[in-house]
Amino acid sequence: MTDREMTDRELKSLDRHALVMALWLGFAFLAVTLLKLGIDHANWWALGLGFASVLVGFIAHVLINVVFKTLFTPKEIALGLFAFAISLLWFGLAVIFYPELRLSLFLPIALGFLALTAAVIFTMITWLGVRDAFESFDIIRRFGPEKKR
Amino acid sequence: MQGLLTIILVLPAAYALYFAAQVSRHVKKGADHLDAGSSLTDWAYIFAAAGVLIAGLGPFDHLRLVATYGFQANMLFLSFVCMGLAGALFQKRLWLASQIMDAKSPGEVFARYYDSPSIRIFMLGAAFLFAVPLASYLLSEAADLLASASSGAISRLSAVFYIGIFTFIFAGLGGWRALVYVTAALSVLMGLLFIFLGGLIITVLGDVALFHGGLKVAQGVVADAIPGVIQFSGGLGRTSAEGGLWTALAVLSFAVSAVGIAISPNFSFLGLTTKPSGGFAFSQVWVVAGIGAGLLMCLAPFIAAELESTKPDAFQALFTKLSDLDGMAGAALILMLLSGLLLGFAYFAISGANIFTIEVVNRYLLPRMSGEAQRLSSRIVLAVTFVLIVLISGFVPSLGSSFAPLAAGISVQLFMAYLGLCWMPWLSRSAVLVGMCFGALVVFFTEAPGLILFDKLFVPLPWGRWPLTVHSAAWGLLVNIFFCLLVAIFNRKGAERAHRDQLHDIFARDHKIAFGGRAAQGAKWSLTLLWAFLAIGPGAVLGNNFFSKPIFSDVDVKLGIPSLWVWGILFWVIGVFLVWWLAYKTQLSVVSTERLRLGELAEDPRFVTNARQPQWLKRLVQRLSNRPAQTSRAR
Repeated sequence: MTDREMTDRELKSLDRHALVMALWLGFAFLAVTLLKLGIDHANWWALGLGFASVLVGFIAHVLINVVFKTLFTPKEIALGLFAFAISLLWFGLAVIFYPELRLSLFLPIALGFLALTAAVIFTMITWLGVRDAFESFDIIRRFGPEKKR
Repeated sequence: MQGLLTIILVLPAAYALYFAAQVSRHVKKGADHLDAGSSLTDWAYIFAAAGVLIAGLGPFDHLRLVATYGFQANMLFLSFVCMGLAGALFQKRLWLASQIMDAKSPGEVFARYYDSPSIRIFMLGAAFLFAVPLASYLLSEAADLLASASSGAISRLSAVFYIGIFTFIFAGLGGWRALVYVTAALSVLMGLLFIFLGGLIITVLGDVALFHGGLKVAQGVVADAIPGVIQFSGGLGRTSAEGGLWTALAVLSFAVSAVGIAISPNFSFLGLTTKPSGGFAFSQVWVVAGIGAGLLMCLAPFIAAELESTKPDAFQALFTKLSDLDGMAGAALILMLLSGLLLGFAYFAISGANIFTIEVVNRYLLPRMSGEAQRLSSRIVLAVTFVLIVLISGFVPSLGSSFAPLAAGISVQLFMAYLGLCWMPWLSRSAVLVGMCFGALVVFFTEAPGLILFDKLFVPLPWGRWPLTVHSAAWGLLVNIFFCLLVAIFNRKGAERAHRDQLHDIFARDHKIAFGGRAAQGAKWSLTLLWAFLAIGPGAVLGNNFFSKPIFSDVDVKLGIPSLWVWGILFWVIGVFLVWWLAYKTQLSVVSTERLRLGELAEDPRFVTNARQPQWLKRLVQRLSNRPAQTSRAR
C-alpha cells in the first residue's frame, strides 16, 4: 500500500458520508420503533412521531448538504426512493387486503407520506428552482430523442 | 426477543465495519491510522466528545445511582457543566500548544513544555487506567447486560470475546478516524434513544412511577434532599452516611472527578486530533453542558423510578415492562445502554493504545518508522491492549471494577499541570510533579485498591473509601494543590521559567483572551465560583426546601416535584449560560488560526531534547533486533 496523503476532496466526501450515516442510523432506528409502536397499538401519536423522525432526519440531511455545499448523491436518492416506494407499496397493499384492520390508521399514515412528499418537493424547489425541480421528473424529455440545438 | 436483539446489534456493528472499510480504503498514509492526520472535523468532535464524556461518567451506573439515592444523586449530572467549564479553560490552549510545539499527543505537549519525561510517564499511567481497567469494566457491564437481555442465550464470556474481537477487527482496519466516526454515531443513537425512552415512560407506560410512589431508593436514604453539607463518616466500607452518600461535598468532589475525564490524556487526544473552527465551543456549551446535562437532569429520574435499585439486575423490570409493551421498545432500552457502554469501551481502549504507540513505540522504541510500520505497530499495541481487556473482563471482572474508579481520580491530578501549561507559567516542573505524585498517592489510598492492599499487607486503615463523603479525586487534588503551591513558592523563577515563558509569550502575543477589564475579569471568576458553591457545593443544601418552603414565609408550596430537582434544573440553565459566557464571549474556546504559526517552537532545542531516544533503550532494541541474525550466523 502506498503512503499517500488523502486529498481534501476525498476527506470531505468521507466525512460527509459518515455524518449522514451517523444521523440516519439514529433517526431511522427511532422512526422504525415509533412506527411499529404506532401500528401495533393503533396510536396516532407514535405514528406521527415516527414520521416526524424521518422528517427531522431528512431536514438534518438537507442541512448537511448546505454546510458541505453538496447535493444528494445518486446512491442516496436511489436508496431514499426505494425505501419510500417500498413503504408506499406496503401501505397500498395493507389498505387493499386488510381494510378493516388498517382503516383506523389510514389517515395518519397517509398524512405522514404526504408530509414527507411535501418536504421533498419543497426542498427540491428551494434548492433547484421550479423549472429544474420539474425537469428532474421529466423522464419523457430525458429519454426522448436528442433535441437539436 | 433474541432475533430482534441480534438485528439491533448487527445494525451498529455493520455501520462500524462499513466505515472501518471505507476509511481503510481512503486513508493511504500509514501514520494517519494513529491520529487521523489531525484533521478530524468539528462535527465528529462535537458528537464524539459528548458521547465519550457521558460514557466516561457511565449513564448505566448513574441511572442506578439515581434509582438508589434519588434526587441527591441526580445533582451529579451538573458535573457535565463542570466538564464544559474545564474544557473551556484548557482545550483551546492545549490544542494551540500542540500546534506551536508540533506535538502529536497530550503527553508530548506536557513533556516538552515542562521538559520532563516523568510527566509523560504519569500521563501514560493515567491513559493506561482509562484504556485497561475502565475499558474492561465497561466491557464487562456490556457483556452482563447482553447476557441478561438474551436470557442466557449469549453467555457473558462469549459476549466479552465477541465484542472484544469485533472491536479489535474494526479498530485495526479503520484506525482512529473510523473509531471517532463510530463513537459519534453511537453518541447520536444513545441521545435519541434516551429521549425516546424518557418520553415513552412519561406518556405510554401508564402510571408514571416517579409520580406514583416515587423513586424506590435504598433503605434509610432521603430521596428528595441532599443529606447535609458533609457527614463525618469513615467512608464507604467503614461507616455508612446517614440519609445517603451524596452530601453537598460528595457532589462537589464527584464533579472534581468528572473533570478528571475531561482533562484525561485519552479525551485530550480527541481534541488534539481535531481541526477545530468552532467545534470546541459548540461542544462544551450546547452539547455537553447544554443537551447532555439537561437531558440527564430532566429525564433520568423518570427512567430511574422504573428500576429496582435493590436487585442486582436493576434494569430487568423495566426491560420486561417495555418488552411487554413492544419488543422494539425493550430492544431500544438495551441498545441505548449498550451504545453508552460500548462507545466508552472502544474509545478508551483504542485511544489509550494509540497514545502508547505514539509516545512509547514511535518515540522511544523504534523512532523514524515509516507510515506502514507505524500502522503495524499500532495494530500490535491494539492487540495486546485488547487481549488484556478481554482477559480481565472475562475472568477477573473484579479487577476492572476496583481499578476503574482510579482512572478519573488519578487523571484529575493533572489539573495543576494543565493550569501551568495554559495559564500559570510560574508553576514549575518540580512543583507540578511533586503535587501530582502526592495527589495520586492520596487517591490510591482513598480508593478500593489502596485500601485492600494496605489492609492485607499491614493494618486496616482508619478510613474507608471516600472518607467524610468526599470523593478520592478531591482528596488527592487538595493535597496536590497544597504541595504544588508550596514547592512553586521556592522555584518560580530561573532558567526553567524562561523556557516555559516562551509558550506563554506566544499566547500573549497572538492568542489573547478577551477577559475584559479588572471588574469583568473579577465578575467572571467570582460568578463561576458562586455558581459552583450554590449548584454543586455547600450552597446546594438550600435547594432541599428552597421552592417548597420559601424563606421569609410560613407557606408550604405544593410543587408536585421535589424542590431539589427544580434547584438542579435552575442551576443547570445558569451553568449553560456561564459556560457560554466563558467559551464564546470571553473566547476561551473560540479558536482562530489567523495568527497561528505552526511549529513555531518545534525547532527550539529546549523543546526537542525530550524527544530523543535514550541510549540504553537504543542499545537494547539494537541488541534484540540483531540477535536472530547472530544466532543464524553461529549455526
